[in-house]
Amino acid sequence: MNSPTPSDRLEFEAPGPGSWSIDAAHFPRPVSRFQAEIHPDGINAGFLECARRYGLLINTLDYRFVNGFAYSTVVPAPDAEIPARFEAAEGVFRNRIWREDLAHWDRDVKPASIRIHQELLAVDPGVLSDDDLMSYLVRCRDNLKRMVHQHHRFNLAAILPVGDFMAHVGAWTNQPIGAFLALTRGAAPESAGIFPEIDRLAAEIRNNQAARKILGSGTDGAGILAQLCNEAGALGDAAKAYLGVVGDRLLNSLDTGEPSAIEVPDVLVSRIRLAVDQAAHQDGVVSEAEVSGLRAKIPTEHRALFDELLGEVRLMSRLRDERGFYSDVWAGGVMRRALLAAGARLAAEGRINDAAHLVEADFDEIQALFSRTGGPGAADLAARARFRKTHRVENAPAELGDAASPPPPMDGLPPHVARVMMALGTAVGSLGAGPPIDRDPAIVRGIGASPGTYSGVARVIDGPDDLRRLRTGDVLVTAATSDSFNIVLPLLGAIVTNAGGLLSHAAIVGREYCIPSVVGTRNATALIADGTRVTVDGTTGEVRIDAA
Amino acid sequence: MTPVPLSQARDEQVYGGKATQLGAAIRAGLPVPEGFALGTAFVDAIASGASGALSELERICARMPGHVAVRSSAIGEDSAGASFAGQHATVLNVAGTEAVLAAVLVVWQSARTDSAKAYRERVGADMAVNMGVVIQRLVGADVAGVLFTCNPVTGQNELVVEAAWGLGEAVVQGLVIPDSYRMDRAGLLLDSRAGFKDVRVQRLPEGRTCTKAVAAHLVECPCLDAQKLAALRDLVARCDDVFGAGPHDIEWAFEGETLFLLQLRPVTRSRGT
Repeated sequence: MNSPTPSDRLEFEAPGPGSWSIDAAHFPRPVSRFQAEIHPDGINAGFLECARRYGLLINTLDYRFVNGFAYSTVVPAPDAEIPARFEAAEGVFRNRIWREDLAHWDRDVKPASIRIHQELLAVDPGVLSDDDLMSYLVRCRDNLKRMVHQHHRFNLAAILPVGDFMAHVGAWTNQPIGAFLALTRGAAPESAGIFPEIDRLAAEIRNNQAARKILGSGTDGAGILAQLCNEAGALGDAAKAYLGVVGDRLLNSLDTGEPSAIEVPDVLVSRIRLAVDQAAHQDGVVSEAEVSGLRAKIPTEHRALFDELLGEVRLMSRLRDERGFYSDVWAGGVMRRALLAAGARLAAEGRINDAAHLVEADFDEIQALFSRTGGPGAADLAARARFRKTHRVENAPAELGDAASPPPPMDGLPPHVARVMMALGTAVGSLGAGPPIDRDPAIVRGIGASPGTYSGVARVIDGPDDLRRLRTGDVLVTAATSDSFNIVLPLLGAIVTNAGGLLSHAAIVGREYCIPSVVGTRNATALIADGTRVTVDGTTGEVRIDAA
Repeated sequence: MTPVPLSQARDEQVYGGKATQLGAAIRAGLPVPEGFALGTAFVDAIASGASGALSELERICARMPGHVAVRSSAIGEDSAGASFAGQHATVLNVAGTEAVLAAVLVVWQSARTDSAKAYRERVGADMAVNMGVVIQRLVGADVAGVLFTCNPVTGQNELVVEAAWGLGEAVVQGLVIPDSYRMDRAGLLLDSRAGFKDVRVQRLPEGRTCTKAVAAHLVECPCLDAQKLAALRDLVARCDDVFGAGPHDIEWAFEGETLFLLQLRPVTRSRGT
C-alpha cells in the first residue's frame, strides 16, 4: 500500500477560462489517455460544422479531459459569423435539413464506414511484423479520429428534431415528457442491440435442437460463442456474422479503454438468449391507441404540428444511435483490437503487465514502448488502469472554473434562431439527466442499507417531536435518524433518509430489525409527500412512489 | 470497585464490553486513546451520590487533564447478537470533575430511556441494566468514521469504510452522506464514492460539541487519501490478530495523520425473519 494508489487526492483545475461542466452521461469513468488525446478535436470540429449548418449561436462544446474526466464549456459563435448563422437557421425548419443529413448518411457515410471497418477487420494484427503492426495502429488511429469527427457532424441531425418535439410538447402540456418520448421507441432498432444478424442467428438457433442445447448449457459465455461459431452450415455462419457485426464494437462506451463486446461474451450470450426467446420484436411497435391517447392531451389547434414533429422524430431517431455505432463505437473497437494485439507483444516481453494496459499510454508513449526505446514503465501503466477502474464521475467536481452563468435570454432573437437554440438546449438538457430511468419522477434513489422490500404509507417526519404521528407499519421518511428515533424503529415497515450511510446507527439497527432501509437519498423528504404509498427496496436502494 | 486504567480492564462482567475490548486492544499495542474504565458498581455508586465514589472520580479527572469522551460500556452491549448501536449515550468533549460527573450520569441514565428499553425488549436482552463507563482522552478528529470488515448488506468479505469530516458522530448518527470506500482484504480499492458531507461535528472550546456547516469545496471532496486508507487496512490486520478475523465494526479517527481506534465490536447479523 506504499505505492501511489488511485485515491491520492486529485487536483482539478479548469482546463481554460470560463465555466466547465462534467459530462457524466457520456463518460461516467475517466477515459484512457489514448482516447483523451483523440477525442476533443473530433468533437470540436464536428460540432462546429453543425453549428454553421444549423445556424447555432454557439460554435462548439469545447471538450477537455481533466484527470480523465470529460469537461466541456460552451464556446459562443464569433460576432462576425452571426449574420451567417441567422441566415442558416432560417432554412433549418423550412427545408428540414436534417432529412438531407439522413439521406447523406444512408447513401454515403454509413456504407463507407462499414466498408472501412470491414477492411480494417480483414487484417489480422496478430500476424503482422512489428513495423507493419505499427503502421496498422496508425491507420486505425487515423480512422478513429475521422470517426469521432463523423459522429459529431451528425449531432444536430440526430438531436434537433427530438429536442424540438420535446420543447413543443413541454409548452403544450404539463404531462411528463417520458410518455411522449416512448412514442419514438422501436424506431431505432440498433439502440436495442437489434441487428438483422441477430434475428437470423436467433432463427437458426430456434430451428436447431443442438444449438438450443449449447445455448442452454452451463458453459461460460466464451465457450458458448465458440461452440456456436464452430457449428457447420447456416448456424455457424449466422453466429460468425453476428459476432462480425457486433463483436469488435465498444460495448458500452466511447472510450477505446473500455471493453469491446467480444471481451464480455456473457453479455452477448444473454442478448442471443433474449432474441431466441422473443419470436419477434413486438415491443418495437407503438400502438395507434397509445399515440392517440397522448395526442388527445395536446390542445386541438396544435395536433397537426404534433403529428408532424413526431413524424420527424420517428424518422430521425435511428440516427441518434447509428451515428455512434457505425462511427467511433465501431472504430474504437477496431482500434482496441489492434492495441490489444500490440499490447500482447509487450506483455509477453514483460514490458507491460497486461495487454490492455497499452491504452493507458498516449500515442508518443505507445510508439516509444513499441520501438523498445522508452515509454512509461509497467507499474505506471498499471496504476493508470487502476485509477480508471476505481474512479467514477462521483469522485470529480461537477463544475470547474467560473460559476456557470444563465444562458442569454432568447427574446429579440429571430424566431428560427430561437427555435433552433431552444431545441438544442432541450435535447442537451435531457442528456445530462442520465438514462431515462433516472428521470422517472416516481423513483427516489439512495443507498440500500438493509435488504428487503416493503410497501407502505410514507410518513415524512420533521424531527423527534413529530414521531408521534407514526403508526405501525409506516415507512419513516426523514432527513436523518438521530438516536432518538430508536424507540420507534420497531414500529416501522421501512426507513428512508436523506443523509446517512451503511454504517450509521440507524442502518445497523435497521439490519438487526430486518427493516428495509434506504439511506443517503439527499432529498427524499422533498420528493415524497406525507401519506403517499411507497415501495422501499433496501437491496437496490430504490424507493418507488406508488400512489397518493 | 475502584476505576482502573483502561489497559487493566479485563473482566467484562465488571467493566462492560466496550471497556474490556479497548483494554485488550491497548494491551496488544493498538492505538487506543488512554483512559479509565469505571465498573458497574462504581457507576451505580456515583449515581447514588456516594461520597467515596465522587472523590475517586475527582482523582481520575485530575489525572486526565484536557477534554475527554465519556462512553457507555454496559454488560452485554456490543455483543454479536445486539450492537446496542446508538442506544446508550456517549458524551464528547467534557473537562473538569463537574462536567465529567454530569456526563457519567447522562450515560447511566441512557440505559433507562424508553428507547433503550424498547431495544432491549426487541433483541431479548436482560432488562436489568449494568452500566460501566469509559472515560477517554478525546481525539480531536479531523476525519473520522466507521469501518466494517464485512459488507453488512451483501455479506462479502471486504472492508467497507465510511468517513466524514470532524468527529465520527456525523457518520454514526447519520447526519451526512459519508464518503464510502470498499477495499479487499489486501487493501486494493474496489470502489470509492464521495459523499455529501455538508456538516461536521466539532468540539467547542468551552466543552461539548456542535454541528457546523462544511466549506462548500469540501462537501463532496473525498476525505480519505491512499495513506489513510492504507493505515485503516493495517489497523484491521492488527485487530484481526488480536480479536480474530470475525467481522468487526470499528470506529476510528484521524487526528492529523495519526490514526486512533475508538471502539471495536462484532458486526451484528440480520436477525432473520
